[in-house]
Amino acid sequence: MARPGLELTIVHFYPRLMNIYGDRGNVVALTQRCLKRGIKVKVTSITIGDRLDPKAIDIFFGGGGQDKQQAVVSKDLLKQASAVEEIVANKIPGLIICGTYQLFGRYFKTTTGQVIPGLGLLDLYTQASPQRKIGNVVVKLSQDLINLELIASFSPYLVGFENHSGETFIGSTVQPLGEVVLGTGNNSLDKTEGIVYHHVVGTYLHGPILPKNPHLADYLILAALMKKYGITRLDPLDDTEEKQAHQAAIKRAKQLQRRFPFLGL
Amino acid sequence: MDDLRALIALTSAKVCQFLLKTVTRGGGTALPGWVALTIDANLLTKVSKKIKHGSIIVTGTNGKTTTTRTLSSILKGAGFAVISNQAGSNLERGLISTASEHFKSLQRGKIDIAVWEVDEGFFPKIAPKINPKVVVITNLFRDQLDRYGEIDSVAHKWKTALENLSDQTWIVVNADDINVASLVVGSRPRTHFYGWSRGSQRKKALPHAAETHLCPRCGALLEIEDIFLSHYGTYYCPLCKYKSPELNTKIVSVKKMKVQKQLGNMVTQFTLKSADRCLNFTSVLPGEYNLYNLAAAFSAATILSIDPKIITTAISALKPPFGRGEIIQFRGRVLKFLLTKNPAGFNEAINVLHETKGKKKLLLALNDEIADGRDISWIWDVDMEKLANQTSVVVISGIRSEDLALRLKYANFYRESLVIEKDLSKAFKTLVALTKEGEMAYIIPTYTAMLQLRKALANWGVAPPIWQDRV
Repeated sequence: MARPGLELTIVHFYPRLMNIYGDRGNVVALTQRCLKRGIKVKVTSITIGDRLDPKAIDIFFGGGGQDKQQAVVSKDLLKQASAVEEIVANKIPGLIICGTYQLFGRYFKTTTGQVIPGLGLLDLYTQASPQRKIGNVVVKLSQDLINLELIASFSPYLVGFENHSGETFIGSTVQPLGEVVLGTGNNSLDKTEGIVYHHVVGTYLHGPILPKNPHLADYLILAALMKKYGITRLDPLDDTEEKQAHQAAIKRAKQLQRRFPFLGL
Repeated sequence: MDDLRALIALTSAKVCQFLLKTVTRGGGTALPGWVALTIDANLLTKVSKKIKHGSIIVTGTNGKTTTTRTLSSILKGAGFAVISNQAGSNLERGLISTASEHFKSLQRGKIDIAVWEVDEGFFPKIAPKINPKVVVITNLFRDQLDRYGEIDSVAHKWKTALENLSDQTWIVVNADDINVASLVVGSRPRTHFYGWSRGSQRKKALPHAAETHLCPRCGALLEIEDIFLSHYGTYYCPLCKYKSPELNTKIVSVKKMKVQKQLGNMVTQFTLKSADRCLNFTSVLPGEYNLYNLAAAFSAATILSIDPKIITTAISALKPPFGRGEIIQFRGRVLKFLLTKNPAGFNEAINVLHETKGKKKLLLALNDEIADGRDISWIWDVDMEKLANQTSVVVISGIRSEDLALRLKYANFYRESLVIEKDLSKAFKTLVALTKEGEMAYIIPTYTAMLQLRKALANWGVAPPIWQDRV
């Protein structure tokens, strides 16, 4: 993979409006992991009123935000539904978290029954619920992902933190990201968390998710390199600190679960 | 207390406090109050009625303790008998614990004023019980989102709570923090706004930890006019012409100076201007946030017609409260504590570190106990990259050391300068060992890590116990 002249463009959706919970750390992780491999990175962003250029994106990222900000972003992103549709159909890899994840689905139903349309690009819908799901989450990745060498060589798990009241139900045309081992995930009924569709990963995991789960970051980077340059292998990095943080977080999640089961933490 | 139930409640608290002090050498700042409230749930209302000139509430995300201590100090300097929950126990039981410490004086009607630091999540519930004379709101930052929920929901609860307060209550509020200024603009007569003097054109950039703000009147995206510090600044709405409020108290002429004799070396000279007074101050409290905290206390004191000379004397004599710029000497090393709880506070600590030249030696401690916030993702909203070339040693400690180490790795800190030592006492000793005599080192802990460290230091006889931390 030691080809010179590799460059990826990461597009951050609405960084100032959807930037709660440290999600910008995901862009930091993607950027650094590319740079350490000699891959040049350009990070751009779009905000209200900007127009997406589907041809100029190698990886896209959208974080979580507060309700008011999410409503503003929703209106703007819907105006460019066809551009986003093109990006997803072209199998451009992306990571969408919490509010942005919900937005890519068919709709969001509020507690008063109001139905707010989403982009309709992912086979899922979200229902508001009075119960907030807050706490550490450990997910066992779906078998398709564990079968990938770059995933299996790090860990079959994801570890993160969720904080959402929405309950997301996924349809049959998307794969769940994984199965919840600890925490809630998509909803309080099935044990799924997140989705994978083409190379779009949607999830409720904050943390932020990528630093402590570098195998997922590498999955996205490799998908981008494959699409752009036909590259099929990624050089491994020294992930000592990542591994320590990943394992320590899982240990802490288990420890806390035993301590306060009645609080759901 | 004429009420028998209240009498029993406070007496029980007193007994509890006595037992805690003798048996455990502990501080008794929360448990006694909890005991009292279990006996009499209306205790806070009853206690508040016994205070001659009424109560002042200080709430907000950051700066509560410093503002409360400053205001208490000013009022004591003016000759008032003041009670205040200065040990940082700011839930209802903490206030009651403090009240029970002054049981006799309260009974005899000898307490003039109460200055209460109140947790931002509990402010809506506590305020109506106290029926305060003055409410001071310092700011609203993202903080412990897992505990408080979104900033918007906290703001909404505050707005409702403020609307339900008496028209006679003064609201002293930070005009430069759109999150809190928007709660009171135009809605009540007795409002006092403090902030950075307009037209100073600082034009700083918004940090990553700041959200884009929406107009509180019409919901459109706000335009920034000027940024003074973090997201503090002046804003306007291009659609409905909403503007940041005019100031009643202005912070002007700020100058930072290095003073060799002063432990910690930096002092800040500044001026506070309001309608009828213009006072110059010299303060040892670090950082620019503290200017806002001092302006808040100054504003409240001005409303209470406190003599300007007394205000000046009190502020100049201030020493930093525990953990917040506090300096401790240990084996010839000078150690400065900078408590952090959220991105705004940590970014401010980074600014303080930049005030002096040379590479710094740090101990960073990250815990995720309930009081710290279970969700530690906020460390990724801190501009750690600004510290990468400013440090020669970083000792990483606390329950979530590994997450902190990972954050610093991605912030491009030199691997060789990082030392992980999860045990706080050992980490402290490591920092001391790596610091020369006469040198200064900084300790930046989250809340429970700070409590643990201070407890260890108190046990070694190096610092007074936290619960003895009084003005």
